[in-house]
Amino acid sequence: MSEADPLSVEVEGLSHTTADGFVLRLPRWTVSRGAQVAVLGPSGSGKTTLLRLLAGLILPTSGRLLVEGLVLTESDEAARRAHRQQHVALLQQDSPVMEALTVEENVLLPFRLSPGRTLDEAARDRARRLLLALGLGGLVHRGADRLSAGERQRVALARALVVRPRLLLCDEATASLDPAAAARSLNLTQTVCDEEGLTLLWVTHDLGLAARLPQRLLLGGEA
Amino acid sequence: MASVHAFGHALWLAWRALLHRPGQAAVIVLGVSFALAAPRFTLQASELVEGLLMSRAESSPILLGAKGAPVELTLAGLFFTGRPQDPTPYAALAEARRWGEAAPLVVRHSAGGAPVVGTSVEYLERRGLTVREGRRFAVLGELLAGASVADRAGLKPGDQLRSDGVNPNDLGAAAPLLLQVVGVLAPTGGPDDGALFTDVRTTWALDGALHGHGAATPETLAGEDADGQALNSAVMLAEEAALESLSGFHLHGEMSDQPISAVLLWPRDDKARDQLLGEVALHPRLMAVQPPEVMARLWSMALQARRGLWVIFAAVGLTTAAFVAQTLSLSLRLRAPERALWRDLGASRRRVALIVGVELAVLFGAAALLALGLSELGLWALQAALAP
Repeated sequence: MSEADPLSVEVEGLSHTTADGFVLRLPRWTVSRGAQVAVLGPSGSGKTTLLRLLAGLILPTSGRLLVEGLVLTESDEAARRAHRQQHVALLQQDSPVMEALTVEENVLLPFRLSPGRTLDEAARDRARRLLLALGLGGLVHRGADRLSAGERQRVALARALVVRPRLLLCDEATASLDPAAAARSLNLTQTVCDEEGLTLLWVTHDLGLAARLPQRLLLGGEA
Repeated sequence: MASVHAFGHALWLAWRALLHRPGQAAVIVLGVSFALAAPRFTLQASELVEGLLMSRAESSPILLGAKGAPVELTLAGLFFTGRPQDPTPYAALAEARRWGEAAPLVVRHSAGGAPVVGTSVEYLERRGLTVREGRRFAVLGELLAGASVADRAGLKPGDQLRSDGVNPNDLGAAAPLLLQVVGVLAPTGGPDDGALFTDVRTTWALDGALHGHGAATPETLAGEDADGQALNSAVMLAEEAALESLSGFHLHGEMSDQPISAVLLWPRDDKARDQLLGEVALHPRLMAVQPPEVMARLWSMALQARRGLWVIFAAVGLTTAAFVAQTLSLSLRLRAPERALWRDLGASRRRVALIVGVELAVLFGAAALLALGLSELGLWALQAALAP
């Protein structure tokens, strides 16, 4: 992968059949680097399956899938895991936080778990800057067990971003928040993605939220 | 280096997780530690007691005393507790000296709550008792205090100590004696530290058999004192006489007939020991006991009781193990999302296993340390309780 590569995601002839018989088809789809895309569709249309495919957690039944320079469909599991840890952040609905830790400690958790990362002062600085950008600057030392649902989601977002991914995959990340909080959370995420040059794929049911994103992919319909 | 970092992070995460659930951690640590500490304490305590009892017994080869209960004779002769059922005549000492070195023991008096042991200098020498302060007893009425007794009562050479009174309703009993402390022994860690040693004749004075007389006149035989109480002053107040008028003391009856509790004998060799045991076995009034054998028999009975305890400890251990396994299993299930998060954040399966393993190791390590501390504390308390 090179920085000059204009594509973050490239899908060709993708087809994936789940265990319950559902078939996801995506003949051709590309996402430019730095793009912000809303992924829409009714329940069961394959939105989460698509994100799991892009994260390299599962492989398609057929087709070619390239994410941030790696052809996932031609890579083994170890390569996909290493690629995911380095370049892809997946933020799910109600992403858990460790209640035993403070806000800052939760954000820095990837540095304690992943062998390729070093917990140094630069990492701490970045964590604090992200928390400040996400409106959690005053809660750095608060225990995660004392956070609201919205605050937890923002902590999870900061934790996803702290390792400098290139692609941020958000799966119904604001589904548990009220509309105002969800909109605020999306705004913050977009701002950070703009500043960091991240590609953002935001899965949502909420058409209002989807309208805030410049591009949209509709599964089970037309984009 | 990477593995050191991984371990450090795992330890940090485990520590934070345990601090977040201190109640659950404390219950597990306490349960496991008690299950571990109880058998360890029992084992070590029994070894400690066995060591104390047997070392004392091993240094006391043979006790001669009146026929009766060997256990009581052994306890009196070694630990100055209880007393033999019947006294032995002092003449047994001379008999015993035919086979080796011997010391008389009289164990039936006390002063300040501590046993007063009538004996001879042979006892002090064979037991290796050295004087820390002052000197050994030399004349009637002098006491040599064991280290613990002296420390507890603040005794030092020159102090006086009154022997404990007998039954006040026993009009025939001898009056308490005021005894002179002339020395304090160095500590030994054994029963000698808790005793007061004196010459065997002083104990006869405590019995009243050795005494001095004042001038017997009609006035003193049954006079009235200032409080209007009837006195018999024919027998001098021993506490005064012992200190001031030793030359006037005399013994009623033969010295060889005076009562002693036992004779502690160190045979000169195996042959002498065997001859002694053979002769005494035929004696109509004396018996010879070998304290190591008596204590070993006593201890084997205690060991049988300990075997019963192991069954209880095994049951407690199994119950605790089941409880801990259930608690940990529930905790692991409840924290499955946490482990899934670690995997999502890049932890390998090995790293997740390391974190869980370290948390368990911290829990069980803390329990083991606490168990060690508890059992050591128990042993310390036991040693303090067993101290003379």
